[in-house]
Amino acid sequence: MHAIPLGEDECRKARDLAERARAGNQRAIARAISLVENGDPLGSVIVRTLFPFTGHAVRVGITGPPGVGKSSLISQLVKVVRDRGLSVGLISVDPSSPFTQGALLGDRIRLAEHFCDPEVFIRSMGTRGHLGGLAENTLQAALVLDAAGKDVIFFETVGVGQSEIAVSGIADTVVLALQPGSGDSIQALKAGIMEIPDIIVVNKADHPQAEAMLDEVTGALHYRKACEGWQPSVLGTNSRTGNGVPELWKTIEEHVAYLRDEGLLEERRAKQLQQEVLSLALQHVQRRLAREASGDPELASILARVTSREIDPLSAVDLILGSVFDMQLQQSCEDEPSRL
Amino acid sequence: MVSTTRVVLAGTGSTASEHKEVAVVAALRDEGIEVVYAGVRQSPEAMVGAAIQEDADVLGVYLASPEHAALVEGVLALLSREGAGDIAVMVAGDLSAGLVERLQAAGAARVFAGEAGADKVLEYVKTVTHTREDT
Repeated sequence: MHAIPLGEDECRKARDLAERARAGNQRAIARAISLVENGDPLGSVIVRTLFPFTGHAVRVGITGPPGVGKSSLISQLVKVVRDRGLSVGLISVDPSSPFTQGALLGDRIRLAEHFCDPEVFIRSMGTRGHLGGLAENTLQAALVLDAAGKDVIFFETVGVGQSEIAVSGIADTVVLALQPGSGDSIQALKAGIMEIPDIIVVNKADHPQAEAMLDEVTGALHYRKACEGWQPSVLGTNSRTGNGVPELWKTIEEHVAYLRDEGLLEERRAKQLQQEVLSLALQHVQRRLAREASGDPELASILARVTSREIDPLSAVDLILGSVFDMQLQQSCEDEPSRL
Repeated sequence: MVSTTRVVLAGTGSTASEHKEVAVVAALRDEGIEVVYAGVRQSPEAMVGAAIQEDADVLGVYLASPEHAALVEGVLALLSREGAGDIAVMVAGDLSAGLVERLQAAGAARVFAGEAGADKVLEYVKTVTHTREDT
């Protein structure tokens, strides 16, 4: 499997774009993120150029069910972070239509007060069919913002249910936002999403049922083992007034400091990068397979043999892997005649 | 490699005109376009900032009132100052023929006078081919 080399001129342009992104040029950052997001080969050149300059930013993921006020909460957090003199990158993910691939990316509207602040870079991404609550190349887009010198990078996931936990694969600190009056959902959320947050906030804390909700969340956490020795903090916030948000930021800082002091930050990031490498490899294998499979008469005949029940599905997989990747599942038994 | 047309939509007026913008957003989304809705009451600086950060191919501006036409001129001037003159600007609003001409002269790629139906906007966006200088 040999990569086709990119043209010298194209590569020079991509590296030049990466350098301008690193210098903080907004246009270049935006363009670089698009190339990465689109899976453009030039995006790889850009990430390769920028990667040595990453690792500085603190990465905070905000997740939670739809409608709990994630965007407004982030807007308030950005205000607190900017007051501390730190620059901000935000990647906000919304679902793409599974039918048309189009998307309405509407989180930006809640961040209007930061539009004219050059130290706040906001980027909306569609999931484009990717599952898990984030877009496929979110981590790489974050690397661009990191190299561009952003001190804090926020990720806003799509409105999640029980199993969209991709944010735990890219954030230093995961904040789960819930809202009062949804106590029953805590029961449903015990597995999956309730296992990933380092901090849980009950937003809309001026709601009459907020106290009860805080109790329920704290109660639900008894079922969870402390992760990396850190017992998740539970806080009340109000993303309309900003109440509780400075405390939330303080807790995020405490969590990152804890991870750093215990040597866990490097460990967490190492795991995340390894995971990213494997999922990127998988992504490429998948595309290669899809490319080879479409219109290949040999593969079509293998599939026809499955349809006619001449061979079973896993044997067909063996044949396909053998022909595309020169590998086998090694699942046949010695005493069995080869049916391939 | 998937490349999708990206459109940033913003309005200058109050929320009263928002329903028109939402109809356009839905029509574009249903054609596979990614639409970033930046909201109403936006200044030229905010609209240009959004278009640049979101790497838009098209920036659509809804003028709530003909009196806001100067805001579009502000947008066009800012875009070219930021080296982003290649982003196509489309404008919709209840505009006189004179204003349409004025905005076109200022560099707006497409001006919809009167009620811009979602279908007309979609038709236009589909024709936009965006060429950038850098990559």
